[in-house]
Amino acid sequence: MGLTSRVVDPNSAADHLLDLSAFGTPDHQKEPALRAAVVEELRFHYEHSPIYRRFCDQRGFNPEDVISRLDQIPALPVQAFKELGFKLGAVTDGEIHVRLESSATTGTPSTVLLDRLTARRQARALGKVMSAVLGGQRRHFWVFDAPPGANVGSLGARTAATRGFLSVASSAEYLLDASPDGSLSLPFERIEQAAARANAAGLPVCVFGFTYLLYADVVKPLQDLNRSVRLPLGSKVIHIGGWKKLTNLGLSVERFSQSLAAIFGINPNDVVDLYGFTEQIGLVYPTCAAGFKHVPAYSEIVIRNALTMEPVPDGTDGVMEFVTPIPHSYPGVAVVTDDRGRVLGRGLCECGWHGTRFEVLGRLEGAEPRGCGDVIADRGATPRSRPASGRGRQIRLIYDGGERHESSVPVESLERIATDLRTAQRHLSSLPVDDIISLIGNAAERWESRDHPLAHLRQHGLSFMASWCKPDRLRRMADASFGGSRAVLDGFRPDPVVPRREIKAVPRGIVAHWLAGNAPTLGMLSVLGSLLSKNASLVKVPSGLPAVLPILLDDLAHVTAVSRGGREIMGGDLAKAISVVEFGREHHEAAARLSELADVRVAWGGADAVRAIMELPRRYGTEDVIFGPKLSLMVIGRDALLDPASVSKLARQAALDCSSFEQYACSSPHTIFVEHGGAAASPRDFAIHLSEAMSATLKRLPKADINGSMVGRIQSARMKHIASGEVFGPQGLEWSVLYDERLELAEPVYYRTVFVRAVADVMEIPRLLSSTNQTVGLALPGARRHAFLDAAAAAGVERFPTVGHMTDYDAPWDGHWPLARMVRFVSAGAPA
Amino acid sequence: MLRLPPLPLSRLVTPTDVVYGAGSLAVLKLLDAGRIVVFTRRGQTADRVRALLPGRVEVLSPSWTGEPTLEALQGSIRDVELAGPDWIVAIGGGSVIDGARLVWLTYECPHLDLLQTEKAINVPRLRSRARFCAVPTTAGSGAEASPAVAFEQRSYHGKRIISSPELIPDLVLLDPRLTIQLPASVTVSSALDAFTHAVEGFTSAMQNPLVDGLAVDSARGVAASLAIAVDEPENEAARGELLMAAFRAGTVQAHRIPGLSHAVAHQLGSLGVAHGTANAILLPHVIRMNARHLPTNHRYSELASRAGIGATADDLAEFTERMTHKIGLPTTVRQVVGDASEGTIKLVIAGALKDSCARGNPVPVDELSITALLEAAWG
Repeated sequence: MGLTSRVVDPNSAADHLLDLSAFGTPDHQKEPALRAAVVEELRFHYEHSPIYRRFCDQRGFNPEDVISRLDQIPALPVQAFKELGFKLGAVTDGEIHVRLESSATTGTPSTVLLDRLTARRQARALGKVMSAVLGGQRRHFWVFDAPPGANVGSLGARTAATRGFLSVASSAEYLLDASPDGSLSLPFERIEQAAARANAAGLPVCVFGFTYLLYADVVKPLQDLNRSVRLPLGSKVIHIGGWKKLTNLGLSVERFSQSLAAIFGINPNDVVDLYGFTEQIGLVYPTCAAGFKHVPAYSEIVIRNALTMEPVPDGTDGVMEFVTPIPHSYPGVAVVTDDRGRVLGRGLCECGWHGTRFEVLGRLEGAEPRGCGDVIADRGATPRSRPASGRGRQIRLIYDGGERHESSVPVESLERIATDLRTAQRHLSSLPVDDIISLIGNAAERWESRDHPLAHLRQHGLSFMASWCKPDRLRRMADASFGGSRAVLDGFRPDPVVPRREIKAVPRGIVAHWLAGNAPTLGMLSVLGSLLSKNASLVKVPSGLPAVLPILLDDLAHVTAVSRGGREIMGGDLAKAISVVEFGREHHEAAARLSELADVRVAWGGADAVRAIMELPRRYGTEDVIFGPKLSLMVIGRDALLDPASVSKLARQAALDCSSFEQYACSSPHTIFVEHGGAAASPRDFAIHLSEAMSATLKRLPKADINGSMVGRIQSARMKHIASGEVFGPQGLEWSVLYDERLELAEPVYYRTVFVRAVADVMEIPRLLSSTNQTVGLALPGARRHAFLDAAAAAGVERFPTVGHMTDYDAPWDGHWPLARMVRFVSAGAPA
Repeated sequence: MLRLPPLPLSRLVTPTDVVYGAGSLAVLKLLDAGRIVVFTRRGQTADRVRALLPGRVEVLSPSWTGEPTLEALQGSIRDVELAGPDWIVAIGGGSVIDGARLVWLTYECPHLDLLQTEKAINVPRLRSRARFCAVPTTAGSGAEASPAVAFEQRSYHGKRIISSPELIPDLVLLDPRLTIQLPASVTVSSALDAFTHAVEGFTSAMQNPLVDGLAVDSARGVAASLAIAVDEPENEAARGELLMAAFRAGTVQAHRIPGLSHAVAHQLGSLGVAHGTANAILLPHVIRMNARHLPTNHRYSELASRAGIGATADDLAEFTERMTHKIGLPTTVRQVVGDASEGTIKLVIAGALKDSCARGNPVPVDELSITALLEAAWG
């Protein structure tokens, strides 16, 4: 940090702020004092924390500017403390008093570096808040946790927090025993003895513990034993910690408070739930008598939209940010948590406290993204162990016989379904392929409608699919798949290569599709491929996949097409050749039956999922078509950067590839290698052009929302890059361009997060590639192009579309012609 | 073939294979096809084809007559959908070949909206289902070499043209034996239609030096053989020369916009005048009118001398007139449309001005020049 000493001003604005009453300070007094203190610390952090300074600079934020609102301050996400905690110090290493680590029951722990000044402020803030909660008198604390160890140099956040709370205690005793393996146990006799002592003294105690520990190690064991204790009048229980685990157990705040009150013989109102988090340790937000969480005078809450990170109006759900001047040794003045909440009121509360009132709505949640690009995580993954049999003997029937269903049927029904599908397939095989194409085209016109029930998926594959289904495109694809003549699907046709020979493409029968959950419309593309090759489809959708397929199939079932010669075809004839079922991945019997019924198995998904499907029993001769996990990238040679117009155009096209499908497609680029030496743009210049293009592309491909997992991933990726490269992006999480010079493929983050990496020579790239790399969007004019193509193709790459066309779904795909894999080619000598 | 955008350059696109010679119809036997549909109106030819392709052919009589309309094509489209051929063969004059090409287009893409295919770019790739063979039985229209096909639709009330290199036949069989039975009037009017393609193509405002030679050869062929074919109808050599001349002239027309004779002939066509007859009447007047323009006059002279017809523009005009007189074809517009009303004449003039062929005339045309042409040709 380059600092050897610093004068700590005991009369800092933060210290003056801490003179105020925690909950007795009206907003008009609090606000200027808080802002002054926060700005003072902000400027200190900007000056003394290089990483925070880069963070501010890359956002164009200057702390010397007038700061009229606290929400203007650049807020570090909690992920910053997970990725860069050790590097976030704003004081010298020698001044670090404690290195605090969060418990990190899930994910990476946060690290917070504390100096004595910060620790003192934390203690003061906590003391004043807890005084308001517990009353003026110090109390004896019962701590339901294990006694702390001796190591204070690196302190667990739980231990640190407990110590902080004990600073407002008159005395304390720890009431759980720790075994050598770290598990905790409840010595009930000791509790009874402690209760007896407290009751004898007649002094109220304060029971303290972390929420889940209190439940798991105290409440539940005592409930199981049907035991309780009675505490002196006026005793309180305060607990702090996440609710996630209790919520998962179906336990509400109210029920838990009632259980605690019953076990300790106190009024439920004397059970106080505190909200707080490691990255601003020392600040807690208690629930008041009226049931609201309160913000003390020493901080303020800002609720932001999780995607745009713009502040939202009171009452609106969003991600919670807290602003406080308490942290001095690290830039924690403004921290965006990964918790959701909303502001419920400001000013004087009915409970008599001042301070913004809010409620915590839970963690930002959402399924962990599993896109096609997750090959890095899949490398070395071991196959899931196979359960001996499925749970129950039911599967869910979603679509069958041209109609939607919503019923559970015995797993044996798969045989009946397959029999019906074979009947429907025989009829399907008698229909001209051009009629099938026309019907699909007519259905696609419905999918393009603005009032379609799935219109919200227009940017998530629906528009793409509708475009893909244009008859002219399907005709071309079918022609390309069948040696130039799709007519071989309709009957024996002259072989275009071998004279006096005829060829026919005979559908194999039933195609079983195992769909992945990452792209809701993907399943339909898979099914359409089967239809084009005149096969029936038995589709297994993963549990929880949005009900997209039945809606699309309904459209198909209700269109008709009439040829110019008057031949009519009904969509229902096609729809009857498709059945959709759902069952869990543990239902091995259903999976095995499905596999054995298939003439072609189409597997989409991650490596372990595909491997598990391939290990299922199958009939001899069954064809397997695998659309496994793939990672795609883009390569831009210096010769593609010859003039400003070319650079701008290339950036626009690259932005399109990086924005389509939010990068969930196998063909979406995550890394863009840009070669040094371009006459009109350096790799960094290109990253800047790309940033502008990504922003402009938002208008063409707007973003809908974001889930909690994505917030965390993007924030983590950005924070890592603050230290190791440059981050280009808006305050929100709409897109991110992360620039550096590392010669490696980035692990996908998705959601329009692009790694632009400078490279001295594009010919260095092929050695990074393997068969897990599907698409390389290539802008490499000149003589080196074929050398690159040969090297990268030899390494395993399957497609080299031009930039801007990476996600066009065409054939060959994943190295083969999928339609051709679904048929048998039969030859015959031509008639004399 | 290549799908190129319109280029400001000369390009020559022709049928893949052209077979010439007496008896060349027998080449159908060599087609690599399990199912062949043949359109023809001629009973004898149908029998011959059935004999050539036993068990492989379905001979259909076209459901349309004259210039095809979508409605009239319907029956044949349905028949072809049912037959599912690998080759479609059209044996006949220009209207049979044009109609069969439309049937082929709809067979390739049964759900295509033909009204949206007027731009070449919108014509899909063909030949996934079948290839197309044209066997002309008249020596005139050049449809066997053309990328364009015209049709009408009742609801549209007008002519639509689809033009794309995709529509050029894969195979053309020029079999003079198939033209021997043609009456002299048809022989002459058809040949003079081809001659007009050659003359107007050679002098077209749209440059394409790649077809100049074809225009010269075509004009020479008509000049050398037409009279013989009239006098000796069974002369296979003369009939063959005329077939080749018509094919060459068709190729010229496919690559250059013809001129004023065609622009006005199209309008007379809507009054029921046969296209070849109209051109035979109009061409001499158009030549003489355009020849007042010195560069065009030189171009006519060049064609006349290279084709062995003489040395001047007037020689070209006189050759045309000689041929029409030879068999008594009409020589004035009045002879074919009677006393038309002033309103009808105005419609002809307005239509000719709008006709795309007017843009191909080497001398710019306006209402006055077309009026002058009609006055001269009216008789």
